[in-house]
Amino acid sequence: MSLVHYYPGKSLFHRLDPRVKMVWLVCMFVLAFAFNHPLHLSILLAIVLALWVHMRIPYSELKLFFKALTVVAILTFIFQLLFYPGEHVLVSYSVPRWIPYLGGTSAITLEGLINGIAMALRLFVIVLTMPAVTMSTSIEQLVIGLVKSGMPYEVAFSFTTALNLLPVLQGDAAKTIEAQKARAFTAIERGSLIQRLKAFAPLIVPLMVGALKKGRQLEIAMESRAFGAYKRRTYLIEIKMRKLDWLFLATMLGGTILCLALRITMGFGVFRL
Amino acid sequence: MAHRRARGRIDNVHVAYIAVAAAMVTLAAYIPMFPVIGAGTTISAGMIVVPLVGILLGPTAGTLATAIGAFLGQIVAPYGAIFGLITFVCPTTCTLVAGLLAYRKWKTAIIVQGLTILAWYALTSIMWRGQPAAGVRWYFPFLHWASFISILIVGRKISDWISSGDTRKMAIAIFLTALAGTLSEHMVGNSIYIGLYQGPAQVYVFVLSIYWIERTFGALAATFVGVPLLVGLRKARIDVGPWALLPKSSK
Repeated sequence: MSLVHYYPGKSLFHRLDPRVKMVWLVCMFVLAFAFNHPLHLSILLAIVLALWVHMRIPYSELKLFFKALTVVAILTFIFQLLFYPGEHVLVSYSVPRWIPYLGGTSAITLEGLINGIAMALRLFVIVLTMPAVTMSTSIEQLVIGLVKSGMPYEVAFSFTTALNLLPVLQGDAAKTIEAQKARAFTAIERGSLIQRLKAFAPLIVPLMVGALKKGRQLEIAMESRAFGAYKRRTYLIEIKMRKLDWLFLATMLGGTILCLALRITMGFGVFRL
Repeated sequence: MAHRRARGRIDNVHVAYIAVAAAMVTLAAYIPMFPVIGAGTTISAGMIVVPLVGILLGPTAGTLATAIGAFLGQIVAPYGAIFGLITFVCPTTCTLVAGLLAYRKWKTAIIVQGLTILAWYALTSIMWRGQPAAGVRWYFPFLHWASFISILIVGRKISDWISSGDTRKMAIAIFLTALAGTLSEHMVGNSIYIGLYQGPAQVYVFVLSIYWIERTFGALAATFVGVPLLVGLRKARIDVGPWALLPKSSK
């Protein structure tokens, strides 16, 4: 399980309030969804990539994302290219109906080509925006941002506790697999499909029972510390909206609303032939 | 237990359990189960854990645990989060439906599952207009309909069967619950894919031939794990699950 890391830095985006970054995330998602013109989606992707460069995120991280997304992007492109209906034919061919899945297709159209490019770009924009936030914000800041945005403390607590428990459970899972292998447990690798499915029980049951036992211990520990006794809480890290945050927020929201208004009224960002 | 409000608890489930369940959901997404033919990817153990979290913690706490776990997963390892910000919605729907069924809220479960099927028809009728293979939308959700009808018939008994202690009844109930959950998740995922990436109808002609195998095996795997898990938890006297609702004498 390869995890995305927080890269501390002093860039403008690093210094923004986590709430502003979350709003930015939503705005980018909405715009990526609203536009289907390759040019507009390319601009959004350029903004995201420029942000990655601005934050000095190592190129190796970006490479990991491109590696993970390339197959999906190519498939998305091919699906649109082959199956998207259109009138401007680029290549004409005939696939007999009896050929499975491709039967009946007869042309690659300009609409299909453009839409294929647009959807592949949309995929990159949507997937690459989130790590830009997580790589520039520590989990503690992110959780405080969520709490300050109105998320109940219990939920935020579950969030951070789950994150802290991840390596522990990961260790437990590895130990369980090793212990079962030491008992000549090979069904998961060599058995029939049903045997393989059944083989998950000796792996997942102890893991889940162990995890819930940990939950019980945690419950006792929390109760002994009177968790939730006080409505008002204080935090080690305090976050506050500054002028820069307000400015960024206003620009971002204004820009998004303007783009959406133009999209609705004038078809801005919509591809038409 | 369901409606008492207590400190540090959500729907009377302590936040400690919600946190560990959330961590389990995040972790399970990275335990490969079996490969998806032709896609170069694998189905993860998340398919087992996500409905079981609903059965164990119920529709409110369980759904919250999965939402947190899946959201955490897409933050710490966003490589496969192709729906971006809203990727976590799919597994969350699965837990919601499973939790509703396991906790005697079968009517609401039917409504949720029905809405996911309805969303499919509504969306495909708009997005697939003019596509030659658009007819696939009518019979594509055949397994979803089968699951919907089975829940309509036996939905009211599922919670009792899960709490019964009879392993056969438990197995049937867990299978139906996991299947309803995973198929609702499937429908939500399909709808997002079609809405976001304009997934064409022809793709679903191919998906039709494999999804029912994948989802049925997922529900079977959840059953193979769920039955011994629920028996084990009761024996270990860990009071999570629908039987925690029963009076002390009948546990």
